[in-house]
Amino acid sequence: MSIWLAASIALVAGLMPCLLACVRTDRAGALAALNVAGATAVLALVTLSVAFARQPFIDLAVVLAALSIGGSLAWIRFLERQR
Amino acid sequence: MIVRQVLVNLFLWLGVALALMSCLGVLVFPSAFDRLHFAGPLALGGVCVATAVVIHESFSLIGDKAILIAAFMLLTAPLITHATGRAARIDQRGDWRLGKDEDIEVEEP
Repeated sequence: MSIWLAASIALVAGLMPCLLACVRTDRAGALAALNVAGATAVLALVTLSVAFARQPFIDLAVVLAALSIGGSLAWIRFLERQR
Repeated sequence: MIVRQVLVNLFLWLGVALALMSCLGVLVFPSAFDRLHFAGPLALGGVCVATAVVIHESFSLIGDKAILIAAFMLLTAPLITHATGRAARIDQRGDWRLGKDEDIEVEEP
């Protein structure tokens, strides 16, 4: 197993605490956990593309980085309006 | 070559450690405002992982995009933290501004 694959597994495992935090807390706390989970998933995709030696796969990480921010901003907007 | 491999290992595991600490911190700290502190270390972890990718792959397609992702994470982490904090305050109190019942000293400009 290469170090990149090991790093990917560690990063994917790091998504579990974020998932637990999303489930166990209020809406604002879940949103903060969602932000961290999105950035961690981006890093996992970067390391996976190096681990499998498929350079175009990093486009997935670029797209997820942009969409993760857009999604978080949409949830933030909903949270502000729901009050 | 060995120095290069050592640097890749160092930066990669530093980035992974920062990301994992951020994930665990999100789970351990109860309040939304406490959790917002972990977006910063995570962006720094992204920079470390991107540095490891650039050292490993040089300035190729993957190296350039790793730099792009790291720059994007560094730029958007404060923005998203601020917006989430503002939304959390509106969710809790109805307004993000300081309430009259809150005992916080604020310096007037």
